[in-house]
Formats: sequence, structure tokens, C-alpha cells
Amino acid sequence: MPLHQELLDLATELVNRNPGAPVQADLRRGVSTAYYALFHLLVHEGATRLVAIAAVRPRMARAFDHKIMKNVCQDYARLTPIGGQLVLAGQLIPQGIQNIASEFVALQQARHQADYDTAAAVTQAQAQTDVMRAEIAFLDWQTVQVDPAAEAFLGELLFRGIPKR
Amino acid sequence: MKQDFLDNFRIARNLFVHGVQAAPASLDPQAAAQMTARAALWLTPKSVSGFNADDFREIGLDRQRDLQDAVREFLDIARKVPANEPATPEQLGNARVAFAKLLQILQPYLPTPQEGQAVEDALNSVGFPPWVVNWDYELGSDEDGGPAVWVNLFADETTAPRKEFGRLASSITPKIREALSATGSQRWPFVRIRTAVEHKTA
Repeated sequence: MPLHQELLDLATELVNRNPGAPVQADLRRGVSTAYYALFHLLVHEGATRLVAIAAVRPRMARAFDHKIMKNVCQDYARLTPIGGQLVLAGQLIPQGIQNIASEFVALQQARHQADYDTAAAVTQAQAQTDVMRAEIAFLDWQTVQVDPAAEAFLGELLFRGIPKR
Repeated sequence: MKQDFLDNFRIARNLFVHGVQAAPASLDPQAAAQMTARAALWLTPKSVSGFNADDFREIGLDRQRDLQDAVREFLDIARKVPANEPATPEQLGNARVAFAKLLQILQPYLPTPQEGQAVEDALNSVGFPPWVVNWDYELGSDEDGGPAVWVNLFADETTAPRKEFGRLASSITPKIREALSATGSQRWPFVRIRTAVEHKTA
């Protein structure tokens, strides 16, 4: 089983433990793990599809930057339909990619709060919601992964971090 | 760190606005100028402490450069003003120009009561579905210091089963984003769903 799927399964297990008497550590780790599940899904897909040489992929995977990925995802999430269609740089964008982008931004922020903001309690409903949002993003990926726009999205997630000269 | 800088600048912004309002109209011009200069507590390097232009990549290269220039201009003046003496009229005038530039660029990061009202109006226009029994919001910055609004939706579990919360949050987020965008707000909405029971028992 790939790492991203293991992470998603772990996140689900963590946030559903102790119903009625949830433990903050479980909920916080669950939210954080849900974000990393989606992060690693995109990194895995990007590395696999953008790099032909398998031995290079792990090194290339390290080049994905959380903040740059967030910026890219915000651009996709902000797209508004023109004539009923989402278009970016002349390319049709499936709704599923926009959904994934939107969830990525939401989950990254949720992870930050779960990991660092100890002043605010994470409720079980919120943690379960965040994990479900990651699950929905996984399902969306299944529906859009063969679309050419998916490859362009993965490329943008990685290459926007390369400075323009 | 970006958040530290924004916290410092938020205080400076308030001191700047209140300082401008400080001198009563009845005062003679010289006394008013002295009073304004004494009230210019924003004219200190501390107001932009923690600034790093790299923290503002999201505003684009041109605005980032404008921001950096304005901070530099402001600091050049602020460093020359002794802590125990008011600024000269020339220093004050030049600093005001630089500070106004900063305010203009950083406005999205600094919520005002008026903006809060505009956000509330936008959220009111969303038309939340029946499973949302109530809602609340909070303006702030996201982890990168970007302007954000946290929208807390309190759900009735008898109307919407918990296993649906993820889908509900996913579907309502774009609607909120559209409503905010329609009012010209650049704030990024982060939806948090809590049950009514969780809120009451927390």
C-alpha cells in the first residue's frame, strides 16, 4: 500500500478513536496526518508522472515545497467558471482538480493549527471533518488523474518553485 | 517572522490613525503640530520590526518591491528620531508618506471594524443550509500571514449526520469564497465545523 494511503487510513483511525471521549493528541495527529496524506498523494503522483527515471524520484519528491504548493492551489481554487467551465492558461480544468486544490489549502491550515495552536482545542467533529475532506480529495483525484490538466497541475505544484531568470 | 511583523505594524497603524486625530481643531497650528509630533509613537523602527520582504511573495514582485522600498524609507527616518524627542516636521512629513504607502500595501492584512462588517454581510448573503444552526467568524491571518477569515459553522447532528460533515464543508467553502470575493474581500475562508453539543460542552 502506498504511503499516502497508509497515512489516510491512519488519520481515519486516529480521529475515530474513543468516540465520546476523544483524546487531543489523537485528534491533532489525525488532522496533521490527513494533510500529509494528501501532500504525499500529490508528491507521489508528481514524482511518478513527471520523472521518467525511477531512481531520481525520491530526490525530486523533496523539491515539493508546502508554501508553493499552497500558492498554486489557491490560484486553482480561486478560478471562477467562464461559460460554465474552469479555464487556466487556456486549459480546461476539471472541477475535481479545483476541489483538490481547495482541500489542500484547507488541510494545510488545519494541520498548522493542529500541530502548533495548543490554545484552541480541536473538536472530534472538526478533526473527522478534516479527515473526510482528505478522503474526498483522494476520490476526486481518482476521477481527474487521467485528465491532461492533472499533469499540468502536478507540474505547477513542483515547478513554480523554480525561480524565473 | 511575518506574524510578529504584522503584530508590530498593526499597533503602529492604530497609533498612526489615533495620532492624526489627536490634535483638536481649536488648537493653534504650532501647538497642534507639537501635539501631533509627540503623538507620533508609530515613528519608531519597532513599527516594522520583523519585516522580511520574502514573507510577502503572494502580493507579487512589483508590490513586494514597493513594500520593501517603503519599509526602507520609513526605517531611514525612524532611526534618526531619538526615542525621547519628537520628530521634526520634516521627518514627520516624510515618514507619513512612507507609512501611508505601507498602509496601502498591507491593508488586506489588517482588519478594521468596517471590514469586519463587510465580511459579516458577505457571510450573511451565503444562505447557509438548514444543517447550520448558527455560525460565527473571526478575522485573522493564516499560517503565512495571508489575510484570512475563520468561519465556524455549528452543525445540528440530527439534521446532518456527522459522516456528511466533510462533504458539507467541501461544498460550502467555495460558496463562502465567492460571497467574499463579490464584496472585494481577499480573505481566504477556512471553514470549521463543530457540533452544537461540542460548543456547549467545551
